[in-house]
Amino acid sequence: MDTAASAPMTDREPSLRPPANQVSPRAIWYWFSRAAAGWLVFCTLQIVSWVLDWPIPPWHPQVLTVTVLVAIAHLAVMPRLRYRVHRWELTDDAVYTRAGWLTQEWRIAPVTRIQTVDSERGPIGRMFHLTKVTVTTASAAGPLVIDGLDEQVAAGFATEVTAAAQASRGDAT
Amino acid sequence: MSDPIRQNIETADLGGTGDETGPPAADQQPDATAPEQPWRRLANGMLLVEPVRELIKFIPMLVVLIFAGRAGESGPPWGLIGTVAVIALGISRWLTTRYRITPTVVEVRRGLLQRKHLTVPRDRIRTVDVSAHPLQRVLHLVKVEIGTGTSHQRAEALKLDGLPAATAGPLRAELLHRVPAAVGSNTGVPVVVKRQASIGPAVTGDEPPPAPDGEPETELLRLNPRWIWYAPATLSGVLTGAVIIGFGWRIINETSIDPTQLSAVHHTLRYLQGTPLWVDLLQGTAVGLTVVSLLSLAGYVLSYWGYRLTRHPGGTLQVSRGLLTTRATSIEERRLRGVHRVEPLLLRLVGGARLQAIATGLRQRGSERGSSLLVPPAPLRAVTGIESEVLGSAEFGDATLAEHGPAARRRRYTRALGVSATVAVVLLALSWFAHWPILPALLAMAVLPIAALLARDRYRNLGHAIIRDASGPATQDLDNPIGNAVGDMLITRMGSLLRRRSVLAVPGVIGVTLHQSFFQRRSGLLTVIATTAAGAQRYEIPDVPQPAALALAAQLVPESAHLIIGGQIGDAGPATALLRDGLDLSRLPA
Repeated sequence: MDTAASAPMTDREPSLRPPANQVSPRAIWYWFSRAAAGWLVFCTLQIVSWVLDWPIPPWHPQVLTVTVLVAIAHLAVMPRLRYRVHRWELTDDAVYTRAGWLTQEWRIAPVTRIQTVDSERGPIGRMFHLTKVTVTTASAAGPLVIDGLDEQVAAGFATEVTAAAQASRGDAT
Repeated sequence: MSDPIRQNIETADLGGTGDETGPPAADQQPDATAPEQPWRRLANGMLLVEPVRELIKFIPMLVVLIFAGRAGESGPPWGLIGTVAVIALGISRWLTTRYRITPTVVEVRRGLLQRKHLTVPRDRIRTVDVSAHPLQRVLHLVKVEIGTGTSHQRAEALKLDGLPAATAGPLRAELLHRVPAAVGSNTGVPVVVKRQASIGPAVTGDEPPPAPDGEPETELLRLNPRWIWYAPATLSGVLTGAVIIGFGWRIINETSIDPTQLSAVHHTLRYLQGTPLWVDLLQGTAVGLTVVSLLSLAGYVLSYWGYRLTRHPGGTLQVSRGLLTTRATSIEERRLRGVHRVEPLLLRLVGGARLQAIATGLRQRGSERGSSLLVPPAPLRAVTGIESEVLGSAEFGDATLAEHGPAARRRRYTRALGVSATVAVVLLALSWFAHWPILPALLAMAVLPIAALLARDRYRNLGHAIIRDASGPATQDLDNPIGNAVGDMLITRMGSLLRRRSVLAVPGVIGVTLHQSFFQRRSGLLTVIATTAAGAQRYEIPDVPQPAALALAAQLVPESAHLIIGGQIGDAGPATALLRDGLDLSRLPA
């Protein structure tokens, strides 16, 4: 059992099939820019601290070097991996998403339980014409988020989900 | 309840951007055709209660004002003016608050400068909470809080602070045990009479008749005075102690008293300096434990004295408790989705537990946190007794839970030992190379066996089960064709320092999340999270082997079944066999 549990998944093991659709390929650069902006702020703070000779953090050049190396690794790996992982689908009776990169998360919400569909475009998202769609249920936990959808795809998806949800009866709790 | 959803979906339809899903009840106007009900004031006794309460609230400020007034001598009498202003504030609240209860809505108008008009349609009312602080009790007054169970944080609770105590009972019965048909016709909202997750024996499908005043009630449990000996094991006094210390510290800081100048403190310090360190530690621990125990006992008595759990034939459970401030919470049984048993380690060692209700409309946060309590810290037997009473079967209390297997067990040990071992190694290296003292490293190593014990207990407690409803199609929810059989129950248990065991009705599960961290992926484990509109909103089943996790997901949300591929044919794995045989996870071999 020890070896069976730690061995990689064989094709005989049941698994969740990946959702049908990928998000827009532009999302790679969208995630890259968003992360890069964060790293830039972080590095700038460190440079300012170095120039003004603040005591925190100690060992300015070393810490900055490590930060830059981690940032490069993160920016090289994260957007592509996230693009590979992040998928979504509207099946006959459910919305199904997969998200994450190191930590992965599958979320399934039956259409009958859906309460709202929100679309949202941040400043960086607007630069890439990308939309973030959030599907909520009556639970405060577990909204389904699809980040990096093409604007038109997002609009179509929102309409479809809304129509499907309206067609179903019940109070969705 | 079908109305707000439709509205929200329409909002989404119109562009669906912003957060336009405000409190569903807030903007509903009363039905114009309803017979006009007079606006009523709160009880006259509040004319006394409000000023006194405001005075108590403003005591620090009044003290300052009185001192300022005295120092000036010739100036205006600030103390008097302040007192009058505070009393006027209290009276103005009584003057400006009006309420009325029509057949369709409960309305409250209040506020002097900023007028507020709160409206709650009566078919949205899910909880009625009645409480009274000591002054109100003397005057036979109560505060009634009406909960609609909205998930929105900024939604305001509807409060009627100051009703005659005698009216509270009939009012609660009237608000909760309504006739749905009448309400539906009045609001123009089609009220779907549903019995979602009909927990409990009253699964007849017929809505209970409106309860008459003074209805008979069944007592399920009442406080046994011997239970207060469980109080020290809850360690609830630690928090009280911390608050008192914090408060004392602030007083010392603000009054700039040097505590070492006080004779009692001075003598204590002198005494402590005269004795060896280990005696100090021993004495300090003994004093600390005594104080925490006493505070816990006091807290237990204050919160739970007079505790009674009753069931009303109208379909509500009622919890009343409190020594000085009394509190009575009603929970509609059709809002109940399960129960949550909590056993902190110490309480578990002395054979105690406490129980909470998992219900929609009862948030486990903020001021409403206490309102989900079903049983205070009490013997396990009493708790399981109430569990089976509330759930309608003893089956859920003593069900055997499926273990999660060796990978999950290994993960418990890696997580418990990994951190402490790393710390120990680093400290050891520091003492070896950087000449740090050896004591921290030794302490860190001493923690290792404790961590191992913790990991063992954490694995032993980890488990889950799905108990299928044995009563068959008779309890099928005909109003809810999408739901599966009513009565399927998910049981999940985890934790060691704080062991939690939740029993959740599967029809109340409204979504499923499967979470897999990098390390979980390497050990073939998944954390299954059932999301729900009730209680904590999410209930976790951590570290389930992948095949069992998927079978569980399909059990919780049938819509996810066709997303699972592989493993159906020719696989001898135990969990996939279960997947074939109707997903009965309770039979998963250990």
